[in-house]
Amino acid sequence: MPTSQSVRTVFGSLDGYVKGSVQVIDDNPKDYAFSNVFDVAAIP
Amino acid sequence: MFADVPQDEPWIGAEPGFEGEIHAFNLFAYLSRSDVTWNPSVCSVVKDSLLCPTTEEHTLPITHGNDRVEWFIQVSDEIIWAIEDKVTGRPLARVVMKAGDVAAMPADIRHRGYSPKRSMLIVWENNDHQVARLHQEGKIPPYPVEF
Repeated sequence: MPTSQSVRTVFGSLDGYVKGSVQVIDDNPKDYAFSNVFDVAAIP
Repeated sequence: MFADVPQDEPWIGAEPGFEGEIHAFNLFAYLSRSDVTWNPSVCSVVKDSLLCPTTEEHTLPITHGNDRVEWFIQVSDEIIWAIEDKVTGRPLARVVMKAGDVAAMPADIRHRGYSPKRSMLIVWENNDHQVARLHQEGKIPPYPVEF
């Protein structure tokens, strides 16, 4: 059982982020307009 | 809970005469102290724009059916959304959102979220009273943007 001290809140940053995903079963992934703010901000 | 989130507050340097007109707070710190989940902890309302930061943990106790597009901005950690057809319940997709991710939840779906640990999420939606009817009548698409 993790203690409150051992639980780490995960924020993203330009130097470190992990992008999630849309895993389609029967739909158009474009409908979800999925993006990541750090991914977009890192575009040169 | 968010025991590791810093609680420092912004410094406000107001010019003389404006001391009572400038306000700021640390949203991350505020959310980290929230004792509710799956409910807006604070809401900013600007005309029809509702911006609702929330904290989430475990499973959303209901399957929420949309009547308009919702935008989700994952502020911290992770939420996994099971997306179903709003009418039939047919599984449509699974959306895994991590810190910094942005996704639209279409108007014709229902969804249930699972947050493996306490996370921060901003929900943004259009409160215009005509939007739900326009979706029901098919006058506007259920998704927010054409690519």
